Amino acid sequence: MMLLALAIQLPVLLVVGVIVVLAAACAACAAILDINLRRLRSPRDRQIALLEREKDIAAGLGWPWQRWVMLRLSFIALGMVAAWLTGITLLWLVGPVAGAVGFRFAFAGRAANRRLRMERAFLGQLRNLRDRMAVSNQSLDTALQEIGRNPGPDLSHVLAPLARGGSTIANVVEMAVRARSPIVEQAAAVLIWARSRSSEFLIQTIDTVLIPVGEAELAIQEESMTTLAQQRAVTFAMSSLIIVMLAIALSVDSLRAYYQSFGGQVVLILVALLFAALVILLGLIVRPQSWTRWNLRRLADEQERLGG
Amino acid sequence: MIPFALVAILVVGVWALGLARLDVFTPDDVRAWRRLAALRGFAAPAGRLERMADTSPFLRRLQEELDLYRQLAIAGWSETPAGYLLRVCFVALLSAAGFLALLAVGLAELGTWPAPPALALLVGALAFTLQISWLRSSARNRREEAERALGDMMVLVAIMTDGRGLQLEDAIRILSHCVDHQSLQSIVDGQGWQRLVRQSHQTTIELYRLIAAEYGIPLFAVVADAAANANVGMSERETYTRVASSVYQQRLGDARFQAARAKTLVTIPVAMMLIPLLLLIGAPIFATISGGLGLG
Repeated sequence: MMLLALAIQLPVLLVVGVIVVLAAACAACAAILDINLRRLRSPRDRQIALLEREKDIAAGLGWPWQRWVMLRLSFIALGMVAAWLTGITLLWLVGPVAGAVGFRFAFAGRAANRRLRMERAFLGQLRNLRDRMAVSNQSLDTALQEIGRNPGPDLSHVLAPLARGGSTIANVVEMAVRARSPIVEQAAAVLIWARSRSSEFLIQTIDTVLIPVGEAELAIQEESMTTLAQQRAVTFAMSSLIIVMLAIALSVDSLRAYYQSFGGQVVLILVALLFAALVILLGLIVRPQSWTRWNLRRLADEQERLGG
Repeated sequence: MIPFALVAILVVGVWALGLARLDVFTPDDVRAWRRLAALRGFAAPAGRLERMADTSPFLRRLQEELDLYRQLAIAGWSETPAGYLLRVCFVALLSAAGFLALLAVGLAELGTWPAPPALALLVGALAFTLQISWLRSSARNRREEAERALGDMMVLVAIMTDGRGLQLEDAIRILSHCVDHQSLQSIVDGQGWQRLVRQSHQTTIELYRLIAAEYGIPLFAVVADAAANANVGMSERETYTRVASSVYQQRLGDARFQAARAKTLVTIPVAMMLIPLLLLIGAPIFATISGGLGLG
């Protein structure tokens, strides 16, 4: 203890002591004032939002959620295999992370493209719905059922619930839950609230509200898609460049020996951190707009509560 | 010795200031009067900084940014400014103390400081700054989420007010329950707006204008104007659908602006990509040369 006291200069101990005492005093005051220290934890809403975004990509690709999870796990394993093959210790960390993030990134653009195509097709089906009600004199329920039976290739999964019988509102909610799209959710919400009105009201709503607003939303999505495509193209170019350079460096024996050393690992960590920072910077520069998610089941319940 | 003593004095000073801000030294009757005035919705007398800020827009903006009560209310955090500051100080001090303790362990093991002890101050300052920016980002996110949700629900508001005969405030309140976050609900439902809106109001239109001003959500003012139009006989469906259309047009404009700006801005990270590439190739070469010259 004496040696330790000698080794550690007394003033520093004093400062540490004062700081610890003050921190403890703050903690005591926080406890007396009943301050919520749990605020330091990541909020559950944010964790759910992260999961929802993953599900969005899976739905955009038209894949079941389980397949998406399995594929992501496979790519993480692939990253580990790459680390094992190269023998570079650091790749045991970088490989799985690159596998997880890279796979998601590679498919996110395709998912967004597919969703945009589905939304365009959905607006077409809204016009079809309007014509069925206005020209063929069908009721909303019948028209929806007919549309569910002939959904077209892009909407077969999304509109499938409309074809089955039972509660129309439940089917509309199921359709929106499957679509995971702002346009479909918006239209479903409007249909839920306007369903019990007259056909004329519904036709007018589709004409004056749903189609113009849907087209405006689609234009926003298309513009966001352009931004996303730019971001993706640049990130792909940057990733390819760094992978090619790394592959070249690792194929030369002397360079590989350097990267297997401690100094080389430090350089690799620096490169990986710089690359991650640049990708994050790119994501901050070109951030597509987000949208409001509706809890349509709750919306349907509220509608029911107010008298159907 | 002197720098550490100065740091200790500074820390003790901050602590004493915190106690003063907590009204520990304020007489009981003054505190009681202040509480009564706040309960009755009277405005507190403007502080010296507030009076100064009134004369300069920059200072006013700075004051708004530093107004913890306002930031906490917008972020939807239930803490008081004093409580929040206390928590922030606690975490910052703990980070600094933890870092210093780590350095002390290093000193005991190696015999020298692994890093300058002054770095602990930087760690504490960083923890403090990060927490403040976390609050600001939470406030900004909540404001954006609430505004986005309000814009997105205008289509439904048009249907609900016109087709179902619901009042505007009821429609917005019901719909705010059906959004997947509580940013808007916590403002419009259960009188959550009372945290910032202290002025008395007679109608929803007035309330929405006050919310727009206090929370910094201009769409509330637009909705209030639309409601005023609907009150003088314009069709509710037409009025609120027009608000929805203008919201989407605004978003489209923003998206186009962002896409155009992105074309130029993406060149920055692309150019900076040269740094890791050069590092990747240059580091082994530099190590070989310096090893050959006997520098490594």
